[in-house]
Amino acid sequence: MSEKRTRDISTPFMAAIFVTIGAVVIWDTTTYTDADSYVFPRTIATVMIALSILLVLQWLIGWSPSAKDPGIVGAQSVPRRLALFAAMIAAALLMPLLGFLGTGMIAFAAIMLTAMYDPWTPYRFIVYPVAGAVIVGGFYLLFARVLQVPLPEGTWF
Amino acid sequence: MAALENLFAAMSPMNFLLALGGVIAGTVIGSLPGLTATMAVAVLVPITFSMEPASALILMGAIYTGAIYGGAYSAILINTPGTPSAIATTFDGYPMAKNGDGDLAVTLACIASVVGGLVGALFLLILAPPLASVALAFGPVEYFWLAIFGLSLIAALSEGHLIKALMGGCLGLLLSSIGVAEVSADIRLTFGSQVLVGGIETVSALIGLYCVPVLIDLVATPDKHLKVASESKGIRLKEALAISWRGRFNLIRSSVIGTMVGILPGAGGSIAGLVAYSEARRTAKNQDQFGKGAPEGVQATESANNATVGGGFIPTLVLGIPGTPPDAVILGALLVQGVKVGPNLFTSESSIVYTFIWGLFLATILMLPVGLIIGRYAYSSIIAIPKALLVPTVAFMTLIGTYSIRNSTSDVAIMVILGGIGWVLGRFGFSASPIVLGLILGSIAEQGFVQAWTIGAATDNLSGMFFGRPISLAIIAMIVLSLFGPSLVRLLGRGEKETTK
Repeated sequence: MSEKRTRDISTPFMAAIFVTIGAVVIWDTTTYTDADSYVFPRTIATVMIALSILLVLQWLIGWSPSAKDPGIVGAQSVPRRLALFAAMIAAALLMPLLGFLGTGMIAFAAIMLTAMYDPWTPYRFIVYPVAGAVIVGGFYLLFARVLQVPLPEGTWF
Repeated sequence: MAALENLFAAMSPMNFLLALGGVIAGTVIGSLPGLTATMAVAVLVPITFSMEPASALILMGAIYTGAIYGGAYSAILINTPGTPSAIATTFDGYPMAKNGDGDLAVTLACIASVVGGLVGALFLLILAPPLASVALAFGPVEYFWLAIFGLSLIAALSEGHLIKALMGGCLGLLLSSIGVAEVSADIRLTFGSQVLVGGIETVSALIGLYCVPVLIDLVATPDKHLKVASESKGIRLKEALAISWRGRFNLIRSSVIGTMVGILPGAGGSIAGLVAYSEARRTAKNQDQFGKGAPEGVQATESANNATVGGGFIPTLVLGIPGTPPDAVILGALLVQGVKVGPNLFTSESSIVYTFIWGLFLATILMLPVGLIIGRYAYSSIIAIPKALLVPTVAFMTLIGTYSIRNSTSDVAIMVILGGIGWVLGRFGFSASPIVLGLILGSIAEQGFVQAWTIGAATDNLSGMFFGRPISLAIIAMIVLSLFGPSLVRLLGRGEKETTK
């Protein structure tokens, strides 16, 4: 019985990305004035490009150990992953505007909703937000007051 | 008699309380990702200004040793090293926790940290002056080879994808060169962005690379964060003691490695942990278990990183050269106290030094009950917290921890972006550890390489510079053994089996 085999295209794709990064690094090193500055990154970038080519050769002759199947992502929640990443990036960008405390509260709530799989019972509806406020507030006080870290105050308020 | 006097001075109720309080504070601060041992010591230094020098030293030593151990909690339970010293603890600690042995891993880490701390303090007590002179024999080229030795661990972490691991290591090395070049001050790989001029902060990068992918995966399924044993096994002290006794040679060897690396100025607990892990794996019978939850891996890294505390104090007190970054802060505090460090310190102010060393022993021993109690609650809390609270709490800790390193929101954004990149790379078989290794060791490797190259070229003796110095040759031999030793042993073993057949 013939078995339909799908070719793993992720390996050459990733190799191409690494080659591109290496090429960009080498191009950037041409602008440095001192040999001490470019010797190291240029050498490493060259080695990385060579390794990428070696990886593609390995893939071509079929020696490459099987990579993780990226398709497995489909079995899990992609929107939740993206939501978490977006919430964290948004928190980093909004911090100077909203201040650390406000951003922390909003980010905590957003990520809590993202990670929530259990049904919202009245108990959870009250306890989880209160716990979130206590955690964010507690860490804020620890860092801002006890450890004297100058957390951003925000410019919008 | 003088030794006994110093011992009793260290045991005074005040010093006992300072050691206990310091260990508790250090352990808690060290367990928070982003708060390093250096920061823990720096934050609490002002408290010591009004104290007696010996008491101040005991408090700072206790905070330091507690913080180094505290880093193991988050490394084991949420795959995020609380301090850079605990990087290698994630390799086996987190897999152990995922397999339902997080409580055992935490207890093992505690015992190993105590053993490492005691060995480091013992070296400080009896061998400080002669060992300090060894540190002076390390030049740029030795540091370069030491960094390469750390990088050789990439082969061990490759999980069957050696080329991909090496590519990841190269990526980490390139990330480490972003920003102002240390040797020549050229601005590199920033592409006009002001945000990147300061370079990528190592701790925030490793928080991103280790922690964010775990969070991204956690929200994708309703499954529990860690496998929970059907019944609570407590701290599993008996089991951990039995494992520690079986691994006593690993513990002692790793502690000695940690002490030696601690003596080298600037090397620190992360390199000590990585080198000890590499050695433990190279000499282990169950090499294939490393990276999948081998207790020996946790023992090696945790004993080595805590041994750097005592080791680091050797050049700090004898030469006035800080062995590790927290030692630099402690050195500053000592200068404020009016204590003149240097070779004469052990004779002119011996009561201060020896009271402190006994205090360090005391703090290290106190770490056992403190660590076990805090560890037990840390583990039970982590497994009891619902995912909807755990994920935002950890995410929030990564944000505030990263920000507090340099008070920079750009670092927070870089941390999250690196985490996203780490997650994508992980899907394609590029694990985070080689990238982190490259990032951490990059600046040491580059600085050592460029300086050695410059000196070698100026003296017209490049090969002699890199391959002609005895310490360099010893490190090179260890690198070769680390890279090819396991394969050679396997080949020889196979050959023997075939001849007996």
